[in-house]
Amino acid sequence: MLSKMIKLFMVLTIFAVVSNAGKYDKQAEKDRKALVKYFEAKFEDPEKNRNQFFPYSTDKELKENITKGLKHHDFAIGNYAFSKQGKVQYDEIKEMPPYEEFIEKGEDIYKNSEALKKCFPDTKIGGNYPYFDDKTGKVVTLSVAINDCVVKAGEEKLNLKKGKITHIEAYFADQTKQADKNMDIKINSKKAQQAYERGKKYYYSQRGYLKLSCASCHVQGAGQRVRNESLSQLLGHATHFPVYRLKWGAKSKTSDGLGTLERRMEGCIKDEGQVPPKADSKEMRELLYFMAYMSNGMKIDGPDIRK
Amino acid sequence: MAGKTRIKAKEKDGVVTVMALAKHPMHSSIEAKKLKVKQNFITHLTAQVDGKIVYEISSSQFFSKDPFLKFKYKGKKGDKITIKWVDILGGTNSSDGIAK
Amino acid sequence: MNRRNFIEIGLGVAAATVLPVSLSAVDFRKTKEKAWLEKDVSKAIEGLYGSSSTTQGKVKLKAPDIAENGAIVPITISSDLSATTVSLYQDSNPEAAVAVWTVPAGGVVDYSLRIKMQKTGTVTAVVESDGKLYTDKKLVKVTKGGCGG
Repeated sequence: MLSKMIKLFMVLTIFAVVSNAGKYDKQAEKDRKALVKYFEAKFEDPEKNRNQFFPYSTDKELKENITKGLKHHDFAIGNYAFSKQGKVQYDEIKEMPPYEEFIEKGEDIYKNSEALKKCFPDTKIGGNYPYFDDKTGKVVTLSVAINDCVVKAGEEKLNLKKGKITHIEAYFADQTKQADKNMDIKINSKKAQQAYERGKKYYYSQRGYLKLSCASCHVQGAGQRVRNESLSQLLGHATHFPVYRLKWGAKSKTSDGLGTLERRMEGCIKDEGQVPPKADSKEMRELLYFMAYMSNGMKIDGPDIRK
Repeated sequence: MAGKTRIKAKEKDGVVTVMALAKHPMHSSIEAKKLKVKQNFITHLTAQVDGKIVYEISSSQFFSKDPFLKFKYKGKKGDKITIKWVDILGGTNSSDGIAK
Repeated sequence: MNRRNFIEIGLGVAAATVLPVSLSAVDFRKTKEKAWLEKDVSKAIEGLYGSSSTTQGKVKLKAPDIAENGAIVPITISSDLSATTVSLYQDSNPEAAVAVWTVPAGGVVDYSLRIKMQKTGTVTAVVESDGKLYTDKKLVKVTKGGCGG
């Protein structure tokens, strides 16, 4: 009798914990699903729906250069998902992309670092970051986690945007990709939920002298152009880091055109006309937390090529 | 001194498709001036199988950094492909790959 | 523009002939040095082949309409012709000649590479077959683009 009661109690407790865990990401899930629905509707038939979604595009480009019928997982490759002429070049460069040697460099660094091996015994963790650390009450991004790990072991701190950290991240991303894993960000507490909400608020707030929010370009504006730049969509933005940008590769002396998500976001926010938050600041971390959550369920496909 | 050339080669129906990524700055004269270095770029590159040249190119400063080359030749699985290049300052490199 | 630099470099190349002989079957940089200095595409073709009269067709040049980045422009030249040499030119950089391929006997003309272009320009491919020159060209737009960072 007593054992039966204990069993029932355990079942009820587990049920309560599980259902509780489910409640903190309820709003985030709603947001994410709404986003998927929006983009699928937007790119279903751009020519037909031009008045609703593409009021400024020309007939020619809607007919010739925009791919239609896109679904959730198609959006992982940025504007190459819908821009036909960009996709041709993307495919060509992906045949033998310039970042392969840096995956190997990252593997080398990892295998020779006792600290990294201890902090990251499982290398297939690309989809688990950023996460909310309940103990410290902070969001931890992968860049921050790697840097904290090596600094704690007495090594020199790393630049969170480029250089050695991107090689390590390239290795982790590639390992995660090969294991076919998805972005899997969790919101398991009230504090985490609040961090997510703050990140979301940052994303949708207008800023800078142009009064642009991230969403102006990457939600409402996605699929349209700013001069010659085809604006990419928020969905899938966080899956492919570290990213090899052709423009970074062109100017870098070491051919290492790689950058972390922090580096990319810094550039974006500068374009909005505002001084960007520092790479390990609360604002940046929470922004990345929100962005990564929006890509939940999508395959980790880093490193990847972008313009 | 020079980094090795990455080689990927696949055989299908008697034709081997080779993709190579050589490691070289390939400065244009403008880039060299900006970087304040002596201009350097690969001038000649060959791919050989069994001592026979299957690909040969005379190149210029207008190749992208870390030049990518893709070509096909009639061959078989297991072919050992040796890619050699020489640059304008006399640097050289020889790297091998196997056709899968 | 950089003639002086180029001639200095030319001497460097002469010195480099001490290098492995197995490397060179036909090194056009050595045999046709002047052609590489030409700024005009047709003059460069003439410098290489002795003539700039070409026929359009039988060659396919694949290049982007608008390059994602001028530093990495993917190009593919293909042809079913039985060719002796293939060459590539552009008119947006100081000198016109980009590459010359020596096609081995029975070789397949299906060459890809990535080139850099300073600005919008026309890329021209020439295939030499049976003493005749066949050509294809494409306008490639280059912008200083890319948001952020």
